[in-house]
Amino acid sequence: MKPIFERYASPLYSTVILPRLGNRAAAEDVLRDTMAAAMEKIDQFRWQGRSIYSWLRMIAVNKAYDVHRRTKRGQKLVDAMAVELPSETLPDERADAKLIADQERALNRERISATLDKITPRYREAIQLRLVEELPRSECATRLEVTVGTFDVLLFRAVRSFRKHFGERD
Amino acid sequence: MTTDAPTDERDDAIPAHDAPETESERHQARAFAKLVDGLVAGDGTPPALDADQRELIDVASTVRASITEVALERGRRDAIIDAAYARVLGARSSAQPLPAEVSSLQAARRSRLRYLPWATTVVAAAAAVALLVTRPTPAPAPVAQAHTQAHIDAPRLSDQHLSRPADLLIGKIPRAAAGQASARIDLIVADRMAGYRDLHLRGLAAKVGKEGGVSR
Repeated sequence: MKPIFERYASPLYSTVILPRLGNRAAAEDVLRDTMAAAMEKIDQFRWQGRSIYSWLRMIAVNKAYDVHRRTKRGQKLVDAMAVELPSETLPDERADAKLIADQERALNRERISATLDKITPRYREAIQLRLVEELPRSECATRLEVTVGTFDVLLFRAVRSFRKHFGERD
Repeated sequence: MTTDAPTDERDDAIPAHDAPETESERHQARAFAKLVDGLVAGDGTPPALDADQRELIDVASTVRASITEVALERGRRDAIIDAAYARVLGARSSAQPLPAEVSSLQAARRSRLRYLPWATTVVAAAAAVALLVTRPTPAPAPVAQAHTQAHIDAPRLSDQHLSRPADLLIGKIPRAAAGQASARIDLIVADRMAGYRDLHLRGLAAKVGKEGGVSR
């Protein structure tokens, strides 16, 4: 199974596990657990016209949610992730793993963007500058024409606002 | 899976972006800013965090991971795969029973392999005995004698089939007379000529043409 893991480890990590956990170390642990579970349960895999990547993805999603339950993260965030990043397999199940990963990545971006559209533009800009473009705090403060301390508060409020709207359905 | 959390901080109103900051909020914001610095730098999350801070940094991580492609380095990937194998194999070696089908196959293979050396030895011994019993009686002889004996024992070929076939008139040519070919040819020609003259003088040539053959 090693060639399978070598091929699918990166898309599982970047498009399935890390977006659900956010934490790199935890994501790596879940990836390892996913592979171990796949090796132990490989006799349960049945070819049904779907790539084995879909099966690995299901294991990874469940492992990620186990982490949330185990660490007793806020239930609302876990629910929000369940809504925004569903565990159901993507529509095109027969697609190649790369295509599935690309589709998942696009969906993740779309859902994050949809939530960003719900929050105040100034909060959205703070998140965009610091978390997406990874500009230093000083640079972000300059662009928003505030002090660094004020920018810290702005970003703090922005992420809280995002969390509030994440998982909401219109 | 929805729950009611009336005391959840998330349900508190988020201050407007231009609302005045409180000291408490500034303190929390500074702490959060350091966490974000570590997130962007790729550092791990500190283990000791309050629930709200941990959740906020998780949200920030989710935003980053969803929008920007966070690649898994090849070295880390291989290390994680090796760790997964070590975990599964380590669990197997620590007396964790294998699936029944695998166990029975392994037991059967082991029992077959146990008798393999003995079986090989018996077969080799039987083959050696069979060779000893069935081999022809050996007769030690010098090489030259063996060759002559083989020559004498070989089936006798007629003179006609030897490499120097002899004419019936001449007979077998002794080796000493091998150089007298001219004399032998003269004798054969004379014999053929004599035969022809004989036929002609006796008027038999015409008769051969009429009757289709005459014997001498």
